[in-house]
Amino acid sequence: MRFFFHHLMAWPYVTEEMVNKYDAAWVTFPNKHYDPEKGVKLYERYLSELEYAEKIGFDGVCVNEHHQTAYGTMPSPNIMAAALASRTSKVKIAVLGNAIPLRDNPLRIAEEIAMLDVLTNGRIISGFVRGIGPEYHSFSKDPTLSRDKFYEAHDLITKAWTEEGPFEYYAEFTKLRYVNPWPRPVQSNPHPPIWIPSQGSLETIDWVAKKKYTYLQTYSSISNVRRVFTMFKEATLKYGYEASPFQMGWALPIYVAETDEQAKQEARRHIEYLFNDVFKMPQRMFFPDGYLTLKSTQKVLESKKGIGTSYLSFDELYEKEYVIVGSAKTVREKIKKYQEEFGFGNLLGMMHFGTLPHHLTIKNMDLFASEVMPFLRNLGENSMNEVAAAADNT
Amino acid sequence: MTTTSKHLLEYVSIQGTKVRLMQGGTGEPLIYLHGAAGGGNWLPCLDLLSKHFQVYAPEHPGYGKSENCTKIQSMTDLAYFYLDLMDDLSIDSATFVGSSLGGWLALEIAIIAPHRVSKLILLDSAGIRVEGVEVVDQFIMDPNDVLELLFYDKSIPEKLRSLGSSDPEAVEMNIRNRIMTSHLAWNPYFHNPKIRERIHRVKIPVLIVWGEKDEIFPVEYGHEFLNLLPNAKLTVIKDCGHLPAQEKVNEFYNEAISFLQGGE
Repeated sequence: MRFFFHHLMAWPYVTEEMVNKYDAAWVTFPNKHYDPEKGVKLYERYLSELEYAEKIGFDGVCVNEHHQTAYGTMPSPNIMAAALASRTSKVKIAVLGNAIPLRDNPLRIAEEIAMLDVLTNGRIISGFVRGIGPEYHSFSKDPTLSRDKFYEAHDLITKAWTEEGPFEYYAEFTKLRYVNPWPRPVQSNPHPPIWIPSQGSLETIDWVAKKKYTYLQTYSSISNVRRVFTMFKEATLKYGYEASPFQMGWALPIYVAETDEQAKQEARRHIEYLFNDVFKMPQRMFFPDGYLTLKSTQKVLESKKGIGTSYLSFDELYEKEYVIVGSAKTVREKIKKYQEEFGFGNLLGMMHFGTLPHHLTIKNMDLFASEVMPFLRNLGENSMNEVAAAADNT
Repeated sequence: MTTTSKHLLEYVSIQGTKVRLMQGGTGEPLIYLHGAAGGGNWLPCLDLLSKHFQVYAPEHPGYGKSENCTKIQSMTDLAYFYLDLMDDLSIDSATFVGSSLGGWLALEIAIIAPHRVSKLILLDSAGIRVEGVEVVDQFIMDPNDVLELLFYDKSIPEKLRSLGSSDPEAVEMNIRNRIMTSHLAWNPYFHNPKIRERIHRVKIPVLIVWGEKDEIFPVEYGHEFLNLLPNAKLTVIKDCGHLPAQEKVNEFYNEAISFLQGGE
């Protein structure tokens, strides 16, 4: 199994008063509450945590894109990846992902990822996302076109990486007389690995399976993770192959402490901050009309509870295993159990979440690296070896 | 074609897209273009207008029970669709009444093909942006809160909510209406910046009707349309919100008839 540290770089200074005053930590949450002086220290701190992940044996570090929110302070994940490129030398740097439908010219993403891949001599994993609902408000982008634009941008970017330029590209949303990006990615067989983070829509699962990309499940109860990985494996069989562990990833907050009780006590408030204080938004901000299909919209309207739109307590998140929190032994056992059941080969631990202070983040990382990772390394390795070459090339 | 007491309902296929079309009355053609909330009902105001006109009330593609048309990516595309609809129904020219988003659509049609529009009534119309006048963001608000803003008389939304159907078909149509409105009006928000440079083409008589207390597009928008249109008059209806043809049916009707039957 491969271990990644997935950092959101949350803004940790949202107070209870702000939470009560504003109906969202996104889109309309006034940016006067961002203090650049604190931001200077925070970026340095967060980057140092990712740098430290390499030192203690993580296989990769992950950054992602969100806009106009206290939830995460990385509107451009490629800039953070560039910073990490010079602060690390071995780890994979996974950009999870660029929100490609939000770009007026997605070729810019093909260029930036290629630059990063050259800068790091091939350490880049390129994630693509649609961007979540509030981003369509923040960017004033028609949410009804999100999916079509995603597919088209993906098509353009992968062609730009793999086909000899210059060539013309005339599609529905992007029309380019010359596609001829310099530089080209180092990983050229056929291109940097593509990972797709998702909440588990049927259409995305099917598409990732068809493309033989890596599917990442984010923010889900264990029952949903089970459902989604089962669907993904079925989808790969439909396309005539068996999903390799490398093709499946699970991203979730993980916290390890000396005992189960201590872990829960130390993580509780910071987990609740992540899932509530900085995730808070009205339903229509989260799901702008047309972002989901008609059928999915009906489902969302029927379900009364969800991340962002209703309060999720630590106890509920813990019980439903949106998070794994406990002693090293507990965390080991849980991950082992689920790896054996689901077969994923990439674990993307959010070792920092919400307001978790630096010293607890480091303690968490140290305990995880020394008392969890070594015991789980070999999980799924047999099947991984068989497919390693093939999977790395997808 | 099925017949109800006061109007006919049929589905017509326009360039391969099937749209639901209500019709009533006889006389010169009058086309009513509904707003963002959809146009599934034969409104009392249409019933009144059908005493004098042959009233057509289509549901725009993507709304209610009309099919989607993937070719329609903008309000201008929708305007061309309606020119095709007029051709297919053999309507050379018609009076247009457009409410809100439907007003914007009527303007686009009148700009492209002024000769196809004989007279125009704009009801609290979208279509332009007025610098410095704040408008709410309907897309980010809870639909219940939007409903609340539509009427000056706040007992109306309450009544509508209590009548609100939990019928899955109605829920589905409601979602379809919202999705199509997103597609047409998300960005730029409920307007086409080109309208300001093209609106001079609309030289026909225009009656602008505005609810004095419109909380969706404030009455300043009505005044701006009056400034921009070369041959328009503005009627502001007191104690009325965004939907004068629904909230003040008789006042709207009297203004409309006097304008449409006047000698201009």
